[in-house]
Amino acid sequence: MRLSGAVLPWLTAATIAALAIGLVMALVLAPPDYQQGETVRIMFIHVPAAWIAMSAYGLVAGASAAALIWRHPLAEIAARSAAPLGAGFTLVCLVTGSLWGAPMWGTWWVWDARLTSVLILFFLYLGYMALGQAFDDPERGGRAASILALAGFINVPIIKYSVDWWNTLHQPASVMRMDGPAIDPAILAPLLVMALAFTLLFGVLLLVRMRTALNERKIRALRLAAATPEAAYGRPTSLTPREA
Amino acid sequence: MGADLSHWLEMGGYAVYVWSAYAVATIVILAMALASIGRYRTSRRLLAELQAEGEGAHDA
Repeated sequence: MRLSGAVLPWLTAATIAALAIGLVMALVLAPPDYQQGETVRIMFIHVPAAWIAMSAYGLVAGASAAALIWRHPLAEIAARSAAPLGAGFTLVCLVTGSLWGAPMWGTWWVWDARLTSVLILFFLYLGYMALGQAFDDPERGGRAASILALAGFINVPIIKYSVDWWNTLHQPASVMRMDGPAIDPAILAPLLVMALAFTLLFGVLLLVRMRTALNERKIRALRLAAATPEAAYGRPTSLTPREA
Repeated sequence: MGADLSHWLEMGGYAVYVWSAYAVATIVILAMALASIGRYRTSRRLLAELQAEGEGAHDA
């Protein structure tokens, strides 16, 4: 984590550059799609947001598993820091999808398998965040939230394969296919640059939030030590307060 | 130039949908970034204050 301080400025610069290039490609350089027209530009934020929404949940679930098994404090901090960001990207995915669906499908929302499972993902994020704070004992809250995150992981493959298992309105995968992407390079390129930009952005904000959580832990420890002097100096040692 | 710009802004008649989508994404991402950075700065300041206090107490 100490290394992150040195990496962060570079990562931030790369994020801003990728976002700028991605936005120019998405809004100016990319041609309108022959079927979707200009609404294809919504896809350049919708699809990367969906990818981040799902991979962030994978991270939350993976880190929660690590927190439950090895009790490593950084694992829980990573999961807790990633969840609100994942929720934000899921919200972006849902709203932009709706704004694309209105002109293209003729409806803002359908209870299609893909749409419903992503909505469940959003509620899983919110539930995870709420449960972590619902206990007086933060350790118990953390464990309960971790278990919810693990149980909710079943939703991720459901989202991924929902378009294949249930043949409803949402179109199937067109980038991550066994036989290669089925998208014209002129549309694929801005999509991938925006995906890179969103990934970098997620990484930067995750590091910032993890550093914040570590600071807050230190603050709690210092306050506890100040409130109960015996906790700090009560051990039978020969240390003077200055050395302690 | 002005005609090009207004043509671009029209987004082939889908201006409302396209620009709303980008506006929502911008707002959500900015809110996440500002909240994360703000909380980080607060934590850094509080920690520095507490550490300075602690050292002051030891000196006394």
